[in-house]
Amino acid sequence: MKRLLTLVMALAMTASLAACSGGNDSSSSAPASSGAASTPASSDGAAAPADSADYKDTLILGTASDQDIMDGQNNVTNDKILRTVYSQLIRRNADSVIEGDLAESWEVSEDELTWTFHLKKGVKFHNGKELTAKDVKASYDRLLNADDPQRYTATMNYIDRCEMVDDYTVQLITKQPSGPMLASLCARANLILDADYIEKYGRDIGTKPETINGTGPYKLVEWNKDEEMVFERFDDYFRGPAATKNLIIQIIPEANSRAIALESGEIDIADGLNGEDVARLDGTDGIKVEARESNGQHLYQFNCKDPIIADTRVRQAISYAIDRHVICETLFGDYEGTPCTAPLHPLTFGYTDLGVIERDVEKAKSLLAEAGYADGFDLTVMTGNYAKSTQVCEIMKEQLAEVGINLILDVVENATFKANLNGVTPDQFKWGMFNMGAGPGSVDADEGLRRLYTTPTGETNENNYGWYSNAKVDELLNAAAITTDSEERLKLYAEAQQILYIDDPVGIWLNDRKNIYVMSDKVENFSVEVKNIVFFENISVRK
Amino acid sequence: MLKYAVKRILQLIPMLLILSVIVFSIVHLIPGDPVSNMLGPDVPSEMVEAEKERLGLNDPLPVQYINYMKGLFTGDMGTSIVTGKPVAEELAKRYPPTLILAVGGTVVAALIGVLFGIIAAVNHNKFVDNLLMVLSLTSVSTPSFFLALILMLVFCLQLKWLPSIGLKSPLHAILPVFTLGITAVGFITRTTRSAMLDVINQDYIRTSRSRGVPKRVITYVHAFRNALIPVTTAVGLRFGSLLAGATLVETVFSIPGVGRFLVDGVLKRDYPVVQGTILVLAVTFVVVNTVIDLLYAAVDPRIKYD
Repeated sequence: MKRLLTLVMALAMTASLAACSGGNDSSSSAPASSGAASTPASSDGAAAPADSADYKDTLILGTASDQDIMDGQNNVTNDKILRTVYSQLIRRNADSVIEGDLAESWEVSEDELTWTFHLKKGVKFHNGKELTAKDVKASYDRLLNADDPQRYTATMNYIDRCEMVDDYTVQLITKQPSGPMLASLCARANLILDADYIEKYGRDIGTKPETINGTGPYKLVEWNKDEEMVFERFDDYFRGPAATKNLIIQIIPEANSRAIALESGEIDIADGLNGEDVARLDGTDGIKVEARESNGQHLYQFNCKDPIIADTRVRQAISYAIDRHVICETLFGDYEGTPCTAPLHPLTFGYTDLGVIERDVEKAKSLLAEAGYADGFDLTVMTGNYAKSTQVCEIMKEQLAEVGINLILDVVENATFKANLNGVTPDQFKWGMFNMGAGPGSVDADEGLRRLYTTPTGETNENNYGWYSNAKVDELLNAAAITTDSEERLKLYAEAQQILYIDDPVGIWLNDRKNIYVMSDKVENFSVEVKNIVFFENISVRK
Repeated sequence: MLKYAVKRILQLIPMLLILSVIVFSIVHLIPGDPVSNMLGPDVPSEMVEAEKERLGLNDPLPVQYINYMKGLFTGDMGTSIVTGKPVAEELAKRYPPTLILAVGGTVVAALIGVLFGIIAAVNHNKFVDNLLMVLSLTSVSTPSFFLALILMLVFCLQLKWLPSIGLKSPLHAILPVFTLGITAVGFITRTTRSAMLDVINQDYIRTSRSRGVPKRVITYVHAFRNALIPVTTAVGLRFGSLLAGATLVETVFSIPGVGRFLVDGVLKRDYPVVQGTILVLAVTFVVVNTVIDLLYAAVDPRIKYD
């Protein structure tokens, strides 16, 4: 027996020795191999100044999930990585100011229906072809083809058609004057594709690197689904070549793993970390945190077809019963957001500061008594499991109990949640309240309010998920949509927000959200736009 | 033996057919549908309907099933509704990493588990035995994602010996394989121990001992060989759960394997992805267990198949 034990011990020791030496091997060989790899890269990158010997030739961002498809016109995608590959007529810069991208200049006709865009000359696609008005027209024709549901974009359907004037001039013609026109054109659906690729690949555009041809700062060279996207600098990018030669989007689904990968130096930037991890990393040597406002908001919307909730006083009472400060401080900390001050984020056009709605239990009780619910009632809330919504509901349950309302939680999984929201009739929808994330892609109140809260035309809920209906709101928002004077629009939206937020509430606006990126302090020139689009082309990483 | 093998393999066919029906029904019965999930709530319901029509999702279930099986027999597993990529192509890329994890994990678990089991049985009710039983209990009750994170903190962050992302080299495989293996060690240790104890108490072992055969020979030649049958079964069953358990390890170590593909598919209700993945995993599991059944004869010559 003793001999057996000795044998085991010996085996274990050899094994651990082997493991140690294996580790040593790797660490000793690592610098050698990386040195070898960097030699050709640094000589190659001599053209761009940021590529000097002091800077790395590869930037790695760790993010939670892969792109479904690299096609801005497809509803499946999210925005973040698309702009590395594609450009559009106009865009928002890091300060959220609208600037020309492919368009040099633009003007609107006297009748406010025709928008003319003059394209920059000499803009190259990744395959070397020059961009002309033909590509822009083909892209908009594809986008506005409403027969294809994947192409459907609610914010774009007021554009009637796209006309080509000459090789460098295009016109977009709207059905009626449009206030949010320029803001909407900054949304990702407007990314310009190559006309030849549209013809050649159709629906398959953006499914793999061969079907992608854009005018952006990087080319996608390799795409291993759910693993990594490898980009290479496009040297003929019309704003000048990107600062760093290679860009890798590394998919790391687990937030804790992302934090570890950042600390161990395997990635340079991590996004979407948990608030707790961000707080911990914020004080760590060699790591910095960049928190930028997004225009997202988190709210609990009412089902206005519910017999009890339909009463304005009940909705106001619920809104007054909630302490937003407590929820934000307990669950979101400094990094994930502060209480809302309006039914729009401060960065969204049209925002009016109406202040945080403060908790007032007495007022809530008297409103309920007035409405005939002094003894309270049962209220069911449907929530998908995101943004700590379960915990939020648990706190709300406590707070609502104090005014006699019994909140019943119904936590459903994401796909079920979406199916319950989409095109259902009031009798199919059994919840009094549900959670929503809101933040218009165009960063404009038209998409943020009119699309969501004007009276639904049909039986089903479509975009107005809670069947909210208020004649005054309809009138204000519809007027603002066809007004092009910004001052006038702001006035109309201010009035509408007062109603939506306080007088006849749509929901409980909880918190404004942020985009948080945690990165190595060697990362320079990091900037991100309000819709969470990172300007990768400017970033360089010191060695 | 050959006849038995053929019979066993033929039995697999109806089994897999039944399985495909079950998988197909379950997937389609979950509330939520891929199209409204994919297009998002902004799209009018007529368009959602049109898209469903185009994808054939409005056909009666039996028709959809038959269409799916027709494709399957011609080697077409369908295309992902969300990404538009062929499922077979995606699976071909994602299957090897998962197989490496599951096979590696099983080997690690079997080596450590059998060794521990034998040591525990030989030292029945002594300190070493108790210690190993506590260890195996810990192994069974440690969630793999927790263990994975701890190992990552130690080996990737503190010691900086091993990488934490992906499965690009053998070095990358060490931590995930060990994580997965360790969670299965306990089960195999306990099975080996009780099988060994069963055998050790039998008459022929006592006889051998009285004849003065060295203890080592008795343990490894006489006893262990006979204890192998339940151990082999345990290892085979563990392989199945490691195949399933790989999902968590894949997620923590950012490995693009079958498990994550499946979970993603379920969340997005991507029917072809879910069906294809479950079928492939089920076939793997069934094949491995069939092989193990056939191995019994090799392990124990008393077993004859006719």
